[in-house]
Amino acid sequence: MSANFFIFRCLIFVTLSFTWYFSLLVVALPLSLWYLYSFRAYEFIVLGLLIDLYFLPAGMIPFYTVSFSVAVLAIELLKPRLNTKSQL
Amino acid sequence: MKKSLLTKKVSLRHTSLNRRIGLALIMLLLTVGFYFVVPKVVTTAVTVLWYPFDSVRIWIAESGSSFPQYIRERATLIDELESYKIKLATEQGTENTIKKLQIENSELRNLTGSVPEARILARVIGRPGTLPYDIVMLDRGSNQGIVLDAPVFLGADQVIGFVSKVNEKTSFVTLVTTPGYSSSAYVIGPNIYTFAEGMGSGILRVRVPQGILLRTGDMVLLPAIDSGVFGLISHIETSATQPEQYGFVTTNIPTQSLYYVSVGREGIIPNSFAKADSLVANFKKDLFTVDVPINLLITPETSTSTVNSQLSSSTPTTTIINNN
Repeated sequence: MSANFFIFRCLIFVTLSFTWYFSLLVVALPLSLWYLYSFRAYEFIVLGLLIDLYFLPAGMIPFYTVSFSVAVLAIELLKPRLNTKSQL
Repeated sequence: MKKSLLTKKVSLRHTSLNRRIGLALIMLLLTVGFYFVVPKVVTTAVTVLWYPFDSVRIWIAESGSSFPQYIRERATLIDELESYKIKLATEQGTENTIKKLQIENSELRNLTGSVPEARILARVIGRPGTLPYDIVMLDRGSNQGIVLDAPVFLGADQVIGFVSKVNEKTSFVTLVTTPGYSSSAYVIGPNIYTFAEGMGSGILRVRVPQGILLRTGDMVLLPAIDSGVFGLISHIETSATQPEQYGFVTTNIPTQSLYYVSVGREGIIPNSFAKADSLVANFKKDLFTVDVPINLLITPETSTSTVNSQLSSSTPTTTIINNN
């Protein structure tokens, strides 16, 4: 992984964190999907955890951690199939 | 020889026992340390990580610089325009609607003056829709005296939630309407106690059996908290085939139009049922009374009041001196 690629990825991730923090769903959802598909984005689970630790009212389900984890795992499972289809 | 071997064995047993006790003590200390330290460390780390984002939010919400001011005014104008459009569409833009909006606006502006001394005025810098959860973010924190579990009021006595998290400069309010939260409610009209559950976006739902006459405009109180007025029933959902009916309660100011709130200086101490009941009874008594200034109040002097004043002047008074 080159340094430029690392900086680019970090910048995108900070932008993503910003959009989720401000709940700008119109930007956050498509950008997140693209990010999850393009990279192996396990840091998304950390982002979900950070959001829940900071904002989650007591006694509620940590929605962001759960949904981000599910999204990361689902896309990681789907990726090979999607790639095969695109190759065909 | 035998003696020395025996003493060696005994001393070895002692040392192993001492070691075990020592290890157990160290493990215990470590566990206690982790239990108390780890949550604090995690909370601090998370707060530090989100700090730049919080600063941006505060900068956008409060800074006097031209850029954030432009964003703010634009957003406020768009919100105002939207609310006017909705009102005009639903109520056909009558003069009453405009007057009502103006009154709401002036009430919002007068809110700063209407805060009692026992409360802290706070500006809302994050609302449901601009935050990941259905909560409210305030620009006051522990530095300004905000404490955990303090009640949050809209206007003089309208409870909207409680402080669920306090940072140094900001704090989070869990609303009564946050999904998953339920509270005891009293509905004036059918005069019943029931449960109310949060639906999100500033809407509270009361669920009552069929046969109880719910009407739009019925006032709902949350008697668990002193002066627990919440709002009016704005919509009723009922079906003859279902055993229950729902009343949807909203405050007079929508959550999206919250700009200022007042926060109590102490945490909520829930009322007992007897206290809550007397609160409801008193509230019902006060429904038709208004605090009229004495110079504007014209009432004839009744004979009883004269007699009472005479009595009070003639009867000796007892003063209790509290040495504490």
